[in-house]
Parts: sequence; structure tokens; C-alpha cells
Amino acid sequence: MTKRADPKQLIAARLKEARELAGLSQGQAAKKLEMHRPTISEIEAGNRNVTAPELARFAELYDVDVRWLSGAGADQLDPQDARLQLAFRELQKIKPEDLDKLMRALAALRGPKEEE
Amino acid sequence: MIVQHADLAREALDKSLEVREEAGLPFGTPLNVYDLCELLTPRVRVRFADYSMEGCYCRSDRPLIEVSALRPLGRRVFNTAHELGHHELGHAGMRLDERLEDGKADPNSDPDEFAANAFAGFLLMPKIGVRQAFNVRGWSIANPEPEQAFVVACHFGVGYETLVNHLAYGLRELRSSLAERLTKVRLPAIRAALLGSKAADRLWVADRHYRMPTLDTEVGTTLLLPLGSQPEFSNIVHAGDLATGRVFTAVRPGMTRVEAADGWAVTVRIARYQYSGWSTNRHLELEDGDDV
Repeated sequence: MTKRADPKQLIAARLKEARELAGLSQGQAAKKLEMHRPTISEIEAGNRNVTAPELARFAELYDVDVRWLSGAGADQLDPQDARLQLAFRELQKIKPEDLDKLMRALAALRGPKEEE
Repeated sequence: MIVQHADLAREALDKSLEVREEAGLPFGTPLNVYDLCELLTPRVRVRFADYSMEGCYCRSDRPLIEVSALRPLGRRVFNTAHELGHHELGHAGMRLDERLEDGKADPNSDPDEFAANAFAGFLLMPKIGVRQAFNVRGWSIANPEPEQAFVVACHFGVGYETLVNHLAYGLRELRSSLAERLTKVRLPAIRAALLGSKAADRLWVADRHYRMPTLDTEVGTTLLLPLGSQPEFSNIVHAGDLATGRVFTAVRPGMTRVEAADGWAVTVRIARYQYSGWSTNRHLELEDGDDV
């Protein structure tokens, strides 16, 4: 779990999670962002600050909501959230650990505005 | 109820044609569903997930499809098209599909699931294209051999069972009794018939009649390509020659153009085995220090 008390560590953890969700290695992300691989590594370890423009570039590359990347919102969606409109029978079909992974991914990847 | 399902199937067919038109794709040709999703407005994002389920669709301003990378390549394609069906047919809310009937539009299923399955079948395997795929090879669509159905499934980028079920229950080109017999034939037997002693766990075939400009595969898959095929790069390596074609193994992520005599060519796009991540990143080359 990410550490809520430390925003820098939360951003670092979310940057790593977003990169992995995007299917990129540190080397691939570094190449696309024209950074050095150790820079990515240091950022994800929480050893280097990230500027707002850098965060926006990460969000664009990883295709995640920049607000989530900057620490807003929950780490994981609640499957009972009415906006998801997940039927009980659908929730019964998937293993709890797989549902957790899905809800974590959706927290990062889902669009900022839900259709009603 | 029968009329209702006929209406749903008609709506799914019409929508599949609309989607092809929107993307500027001909009505009868095979297509790559991941590339198609990138062409739509709004773009439909597709991600391969490293956990077990069939697929998930999340309606939003930035629509999202998640399909499990743990399923076979052809199955991932069908599952993506199924979830795209939920998107295009305007089904409400978020869909989570743990188990989908393989290419079969079950009339007893939820109407939305029936329609999404029908959409996927018509989108990926349009009737005119399926008939052409059999005709051009001189094979009978009404009575195919298992190996022939396998090659045609590869032609459309889907799994063997998906094609057989679509032939029988979607296109009504195949008697259901014959479809049942064909789906009982196990894939190892089909691979052995096509490759002989070189039979592999995973096989994809592109013969001289293969129409897509690209062939999506993953590391470890065996490819049976036309005789004389020559890759530009070493992402795929030559593993032998058979009377039916040249055998390659996909060994490294990336892309390579492959050419054979008479102007036949395809771009082979290789992903890591069971790659998880955005579909748009699936064929990136590895960087120094990356694991396959």
C-alpha cells in the first residue's frame, strides 16, 4: 500500500504503478521521455522531486489521470460504487484478488468523468 | 424471444458495418481490432491485464477495455471485440465478463451479452470475407477440415473454436453437428497435422492468401509463413522448412517486415509473452537491461 502520510512517496508509488500498468519498462519510459533510466528509477524510489510539467508528461505517456498521479483519489475503486453499475452476479464471477487488481487499475486508468 | 434475438443480431451486424465505415475499413476484409480501437472517436483504450477474467468495459469520456493477457492471442482479440460491442451498442455502465462463450451467440444469454458476441463475430469475421477466405484457398466452407478452419481462423486473427462457432451459429454456413465435431478436435492434433514433428505449443499461420498487412504475435509462438519468407530483422528466427511453408519462432519483442516471392509481405509485430499494458505499447523493442 502507498503511504498516505508522505505525498512524495505517494506520487513515487503511483508513478511506478502507472508505468507498470502502461506496460513500459523503466528503460522504455526513459527513452520515450528522453530521460536517463536512473532518473526514472530515482523518481520512483522517491529520491527525486517531480515538477508539475514532468508529472503531466508522465500522465500523458502512461495514459492516466494526472490528478490520480499527483496523489488525489483512492488507490482502489470500491466495486460497490453505484457509478460502476457492477451487478452482484458480475462480482461473483471474478476471484477477490483479481477484482482487487481490476479496481486498482480502474482507479488509475478510468476517465475523469463518468457517464451517468 | 427468437424475433428479439434476430433483431439484436441485425442491430449488431449493422453496428459492425458502421464501425468499419467510421474507421475507413472495407466491409469484408480481416482487421486488427486493437488498431481499429485507436481509429475510433473517441479513441477506445485497450489494456492487457495480468489477472484472470475475460474482459471488462468501462464507459467514460475516455472509454477503456481491459482483457486478460492470460488468454490465448485469438481469444484476446475476440474478447476485445466483444467489449467494443458493449461500447458501440451503448450498453450502460461497466461490464465485467468473466467467461464468454467462444464465438457463440447463445440465445439464452443476457440480451446485451448476446448482442456483444454477435457484434464481435460480425466485426471480425464478416460473411463476405469468410466466404472469400475459403474460396480463394479452394476449400469448402460447409465442410472444412480442422486444419483448414485453423488457417482461416488465423486469417481473421481469432481462435479456431471461435471461427467454427461463428460459421455455425453466426453465419449459418456450417451445420451445428459438424461444428460440434470440429470443436472436439484438439489443437495439438491440428498443430501436429500442420507442423509434423515440429509441432509447437502455440502456432500462428499466415499463408499466401493472408490479407492483413500486420501479424500480431508474442514471444515463443511458432509461425508458419509462406516458403521463401525472409524477415528483415532477427525478432523471429528460422526454425525449418516444410512442404507447406517456412517455420519461424518469435524470440524478441519488436517489429519486422517479412517478404516472400511474388510480392507477398507482412509486418510481424511481436509482444512479450502474456504482455500486460496498453495495447499501443505491446510491440516496443526492449531496452538495455529489460527482461523478455
